Amino acid sequence: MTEHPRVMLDEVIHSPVRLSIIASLARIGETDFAALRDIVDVSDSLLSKHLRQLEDRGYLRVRKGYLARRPRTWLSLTDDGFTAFRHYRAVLTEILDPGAAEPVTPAKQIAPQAS
Amino acid sequence: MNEPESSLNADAADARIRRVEQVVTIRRRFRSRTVLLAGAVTVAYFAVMGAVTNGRAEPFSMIMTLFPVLAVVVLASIWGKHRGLESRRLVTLEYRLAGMFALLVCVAGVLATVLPHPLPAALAGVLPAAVCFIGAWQLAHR
Repeated sequence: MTEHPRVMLDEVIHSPVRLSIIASLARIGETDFAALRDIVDVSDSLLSKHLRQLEDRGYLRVRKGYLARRPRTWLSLTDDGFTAFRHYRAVLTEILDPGAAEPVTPAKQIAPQAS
Repeated sequence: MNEPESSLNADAADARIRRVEQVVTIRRRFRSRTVLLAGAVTVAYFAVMGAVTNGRAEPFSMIMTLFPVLAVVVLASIWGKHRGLESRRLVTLEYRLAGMFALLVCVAGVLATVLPHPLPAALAGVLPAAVCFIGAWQLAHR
C-alpha cells in the first residue's frame, strides 16, 4: 500500500514562517535580514529562530558583511535548500493535483549539519 | 505580525508560496518603475530647461533650479518607505546607477546651459535618462 504523498513533505520546510522564508529566497536569490523580515512579515526574533533551524538543516547560508559602510546579514539558500524546496513543491503539486505529473519519489535524506 | 506556529495543509502551503512570490514580484517592479519614471522626468526636465536657458520660460527659472533637489528628496523618501529586495547585486547596482546618473545630470546640466539652442540642450538630458532606462530594465530582470 503506497503512502500518501503528504508524508514526503519536508517537516523543516512545512511550517508557515519557514516556508515563506524558503519561498522568498528561492525567488530572490540573496537578500538581507531586514528585507526578508519585511517580506515574510514577522518580528526579528521569530525570523532569527526560524533562520537558525533552516541553517542547522543545511538549507540556508548566512553571510555577514558590509555595504556602504553599513553592516548587513546576507541570506541565501544552499544547493540543498534549493533541492529541498523543489522537491517540496513537487510533492505539493502531487497532493493538490494527483496524476498531473510523475509521482514524486522520496527525497534523499540530507543529514542535518553539526552545530 | 507574529504568526503562531501551526500546521499547514497543502492548499495553505501552496497559497503561501504564491503570495510570497507575488510580494517579491511587486517589490521588484516598484523599484524598476520608479527608476523608469525618474528617466522620463529627467528627459522632460531637460527639455524644459533648454527653453529656460533660451529665455522662453524665464519666470520659471527658480523652479527649474530647485526641481532636481525636490525630485531627489521625493525619490529618496519613496525608496526609503518601500524597501526593495535588497539583494547584494541589486543594492550594488542601485548605488552604481545613482552615481552614474548624478554624474551625467551634471554633465547634461552644463551642456544645457552652454548650448545655444533648446533642442541640443534637451537631448543632453537623454544621457542621464538612458542610465535610468537601462537601470530599470536591469532591476526588473535581475
